[in-house]
Amino acid sequence: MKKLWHSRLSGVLLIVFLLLLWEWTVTFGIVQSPSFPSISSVFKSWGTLIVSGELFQQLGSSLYRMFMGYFIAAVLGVFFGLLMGYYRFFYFLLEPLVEIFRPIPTPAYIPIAILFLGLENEMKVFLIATATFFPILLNTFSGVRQVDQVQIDTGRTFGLTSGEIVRKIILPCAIPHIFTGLRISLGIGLIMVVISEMVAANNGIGYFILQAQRTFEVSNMYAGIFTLGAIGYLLNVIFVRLERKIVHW
Amino acid sequence: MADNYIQVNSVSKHFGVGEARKMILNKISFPIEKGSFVSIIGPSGCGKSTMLQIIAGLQEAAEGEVILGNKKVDAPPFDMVYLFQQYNKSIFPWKTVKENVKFGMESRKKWSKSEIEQRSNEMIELVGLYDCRDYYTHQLSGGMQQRVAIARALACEPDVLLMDEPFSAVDAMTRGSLQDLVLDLWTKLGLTILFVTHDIDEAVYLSSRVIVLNRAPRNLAADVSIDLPYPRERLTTPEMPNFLKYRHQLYEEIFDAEKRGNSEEIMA
Repeated sequence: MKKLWHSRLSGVLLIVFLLLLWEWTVTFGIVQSPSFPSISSVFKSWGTLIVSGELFQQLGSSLYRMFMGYFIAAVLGVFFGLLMGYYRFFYFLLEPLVEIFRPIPTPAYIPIAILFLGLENEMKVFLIATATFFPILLNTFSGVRQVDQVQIDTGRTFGLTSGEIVRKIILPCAIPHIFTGLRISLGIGLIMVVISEMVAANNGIGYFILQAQRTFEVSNMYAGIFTLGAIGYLLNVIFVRLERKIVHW
Repeated sequence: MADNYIQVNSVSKHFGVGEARKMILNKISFPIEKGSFVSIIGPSGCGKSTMLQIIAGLQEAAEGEVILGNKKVDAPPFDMVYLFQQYNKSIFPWKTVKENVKFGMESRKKWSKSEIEQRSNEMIELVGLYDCRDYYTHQLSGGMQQRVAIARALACEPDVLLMDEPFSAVDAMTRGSLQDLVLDLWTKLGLTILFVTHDIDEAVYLSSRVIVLNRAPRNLAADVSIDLPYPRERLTTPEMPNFLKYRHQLYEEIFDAEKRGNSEEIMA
């Protein structure tokens, strides 16, 4: 019995208990509202959506946008992070700019993004890239800053050029920090894709959830939210695996 | 003339500016013969590590110059490798032992792939790590990590090895075996070694010559030739009358220098 309370099983049991609680509050009539279907009917709709393939279609559009934006942010974030971390000139040049733009919540750009980029994918990719850029930039930067002078001098005593020092020493040294930034941004990317799809879209998981609510298909709405939970969890698991493989030391 | 392979010419260095400006090295000059094993000792804060970094081209002298061969050192020269006290930071955790040893050779761009492969194996063998060649560095003890750093440095075929308190962070047993390893490699490979330490016994045991730096005034306190036969023996060499004589003499030099330094610092 003692073992149970010290294993992951207790966490799983809590979830099962909460789901049962949800089910009972509806079946025993404690909560009676068309906005709050029983969990069994939510799961039924979820199953139907999975079998019909509709859910995967919506998810596909969302993930495509998300990874487009995320990829752009990763490339630019790591590049500028290295630049600002290693070359003082670029730090002094870019730091004020970064500090001005960083606190602005990305959704504030939605109206501008729509004006310049329209309602299609470009707008969404831009917003996702903007939101996910800053954590990657700042973590890369602080990773580079934490590289020890001894490590840099080791490169110098072996005659590495300054470009080689960045590539062969600074970058691998900063990789654990870069991964922290990438993982934070993964969650932010998911948030941003949902927001942008709720503002303007005709597909995607954010659009799907909003549309289900507007058409009173309430259990589909919950199923969509659960899907986001599942995909967020899955992405994180994959990411942690990848991180352990790459940052093995 | 005994060829002055390395010539340190009135090198000065200070840190800070204005009021906080602190003299570290004051017009220091000395020659180093090719193939010698020279230790630089002195109390902590006397600038011995700074001196070594200037010779290595890792730091710039404020005044004066270092000549290697007949060229002025203004960047880390290819014929020298600097071995850091913090070996655990200097070797790379994302590389295996073998990849670490290859690192220096790859950056020199002097050898072919197969030469690098072969030579790195030889060097790993030489420092006694052949069985651990595919380990990552965090799987090694401190002494083994320093061996990796030594193998990596020697793989580049340097003429000069600059060692900054390389054994101060390992336990006494390991230190003994690393000292003998370095002596052995020095004889086999015909290196010139500059060795910074604060351990007088270590300096006498290893070196053919010991240079003593002052804390104040910041210059050379003594320059002693160590006339003890090579190969040095772990048990017998430290028992030789001459070993004790040099040890005694160097202790005196350092304590005298400290006394002078302290009184001068008080006066200043």
